Amino acid sequence: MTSLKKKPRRGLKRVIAHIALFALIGLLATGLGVYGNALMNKATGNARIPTRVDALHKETENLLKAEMHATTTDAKLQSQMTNGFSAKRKSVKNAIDEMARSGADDREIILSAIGTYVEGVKGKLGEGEALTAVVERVESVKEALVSKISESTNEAVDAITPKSVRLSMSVSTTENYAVMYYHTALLWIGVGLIALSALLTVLWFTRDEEGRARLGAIIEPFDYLLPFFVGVAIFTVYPMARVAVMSFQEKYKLGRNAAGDFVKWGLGNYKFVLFGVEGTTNVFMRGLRNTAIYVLITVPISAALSILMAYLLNQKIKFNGLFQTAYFIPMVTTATAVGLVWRWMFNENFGLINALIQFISPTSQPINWLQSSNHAVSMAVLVIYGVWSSLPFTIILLLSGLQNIDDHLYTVAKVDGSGASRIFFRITVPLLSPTIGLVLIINSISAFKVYTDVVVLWNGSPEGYAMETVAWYIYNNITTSDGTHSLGYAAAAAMVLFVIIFIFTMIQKYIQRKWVYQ
Amino acid sequence: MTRRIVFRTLLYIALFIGAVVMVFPFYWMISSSFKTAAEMNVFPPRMVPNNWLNFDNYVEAWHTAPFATYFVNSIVVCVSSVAVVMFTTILAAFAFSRLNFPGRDLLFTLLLSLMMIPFELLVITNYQTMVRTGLYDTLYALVLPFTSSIFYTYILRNFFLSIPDSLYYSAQVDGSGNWSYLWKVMVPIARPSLVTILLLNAMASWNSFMWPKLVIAHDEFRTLPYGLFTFTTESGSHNEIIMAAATLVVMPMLILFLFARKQIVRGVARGGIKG
Repeated sequence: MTSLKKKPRRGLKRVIAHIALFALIGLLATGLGVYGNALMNKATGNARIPTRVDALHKETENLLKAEMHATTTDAKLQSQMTNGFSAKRKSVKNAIDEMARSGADDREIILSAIGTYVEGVKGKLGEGEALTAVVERVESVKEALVSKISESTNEAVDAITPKSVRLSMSVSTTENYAVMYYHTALLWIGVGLIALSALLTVLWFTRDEEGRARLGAIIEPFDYLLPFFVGVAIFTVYPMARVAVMSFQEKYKLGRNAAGDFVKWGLGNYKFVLFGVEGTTNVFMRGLRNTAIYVLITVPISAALSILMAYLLNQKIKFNGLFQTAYFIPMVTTATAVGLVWRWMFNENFGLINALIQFISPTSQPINWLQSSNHAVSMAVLVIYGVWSSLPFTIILLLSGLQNIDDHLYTVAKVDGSGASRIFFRITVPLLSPTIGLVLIINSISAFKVYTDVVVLWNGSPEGYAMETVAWYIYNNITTSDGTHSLGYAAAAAMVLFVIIFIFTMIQKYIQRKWVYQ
Repeated sequence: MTRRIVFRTLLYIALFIGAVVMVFPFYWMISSSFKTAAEMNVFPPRMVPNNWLNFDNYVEAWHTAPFATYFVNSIVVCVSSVAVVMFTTILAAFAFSRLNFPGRDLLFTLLLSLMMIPFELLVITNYQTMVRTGLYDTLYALVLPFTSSIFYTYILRNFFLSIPDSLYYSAQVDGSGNWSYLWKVMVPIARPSLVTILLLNAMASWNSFMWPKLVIAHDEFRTLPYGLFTFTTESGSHNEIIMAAATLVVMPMLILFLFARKQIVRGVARGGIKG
């Protein structure tokens, strides 16, 4: 007889809370969006003034001068006229500026400018035939000039739209940049939230208590998902789409102080990244080559060594904990710090590696590992460090895979009289193959993204030693703002990297179907 | 019988050599940090410093660069990041496992596919977003882009799925709602998984280098790895001081590892992706 009264009440509270919250936040967002829009319009107006002044001034001077010069063929007179213009130029400019800011229309401004210039010419020419000719000419073409100048001024001014201003404003000098830049998004979000709130209100009033409670229950999962998805939407989904689009936007200007503005759509970024410019080295390709070699050498070696070590660690040994600690330490330590030690160990004059080599064969020359002109030597450094630092993680995975193999399989095999190596190759390896396959894929994916290693080993400038990588190329294009770098290139390079990783992984998965034990 | 002994000895020798190879760079780092410049610049290099208690390099490093600031920044960022991520992950994993809504499983599969996208691609826009919202060169920029982790949600969801339905239903009969069920029942049960996520997240945050290098310009907001890097590029070739600084940076994680080794190893094995 007593129904569960608690449940409906909770659902009700939830719906009401959502109606209120959505309305509030929606209003706030819309308000900010409107504010940002107003700021944008104001900024556009402000940006237009200098352009208008400039256009009015230049057009008036040039066209008027041409008309005056057309009244005579005497070069001396013409140069006197030009002098007249020069004398009055500054005051005309100031006058135009003042009049424009106080709201005068084009006609007034142009007529006033013309008047001042004529004064200036009068001063240089003095009374006489030439002056009369000029004044007559000016009177006759005055109206035509006004409309022509006005037209081209409007053209120049119309080119300055809120959109163009938004893309060319500078982050550091514009107050409220964020609100202005994102005002459209804010408006959409705000309106959307208000609409949701309205929808919920409508649903509320068209339902009875049971229905309302059920509404609350439907909303509930989204509450739990919201914090998570806000992050995913802003920092994963949106960037993915944006970068894909950006890779097709050419001459994208760097976004630190000048927001993104681009020249046109096209494959120019990809062309530059993949084919470079005639006569210069294609840095991306060099980076790609380095990265590819790195992946193809490091991953298999690391896997092989790890299988061996994991196998050894899996035997029943004492001091298991101690060994594990030793093997896994490199994994938790900061790569930057560890890279520095290796850099010191590879030092040409005082490094440990050269000391070891000398110890083994006293007659050999010390190798300049990090600054060698022999590219293979530099790659060797990267590979050695890469293998070493990837061992712990790989061993952990393989060890875990080994431990998942049922002991009784070994027992049965031993009873059958199989030797250790037979057991290893016929039982252990096949059963371990899924883990090996997984390790190969995971390690190659992260090997393609190698960045910190080259930066630390070569003291921040791997490019000086031809040791760029693809990831480095991307980062370099983001942070360098000169003519030869751009976000567009970074975007194109990132897309290429993504595709390469994807294809490589797919190929691996396909091949693995053949040898991985299902 | 002798065969066995030979094998066992070889086994231990191999393991020992391997262990030395893995650990030696750290020994080298620490021992070098106690050497003087004169001791460093000799060939062949010396295994043991003259004076194991020569803290000069540490003092020098501490004074040359604001390691205390870097340290504090790293801690702040690490703790904030872990707290936020735990919150979003627990809620989302709960929604994807215990709650029902249309398209739940399809959405989750889509989410998993997003994991494939390399951060190097997202970095470009995330960088721009940080600049445009005025968060460039602040600690917020180090925390905000990483508030959601699909990977950790995946791990936790799997664990939540293994908690029997009966617990949920009996809690419902008792009149508890989803929220209290989540926090009073599921979270305590999921503690091992949560500890794993916490450790992996903490390690990733502490060791991150690439992103801070991109979005931080001022010394006062640098975290340890990036601060260390700036320190070395600027302090030239005083390697003994660099080694001291490196040791300082590595110590916290090293100590954490010594205490939490089992958890970390188990977590990595289960997760299958590096922290």
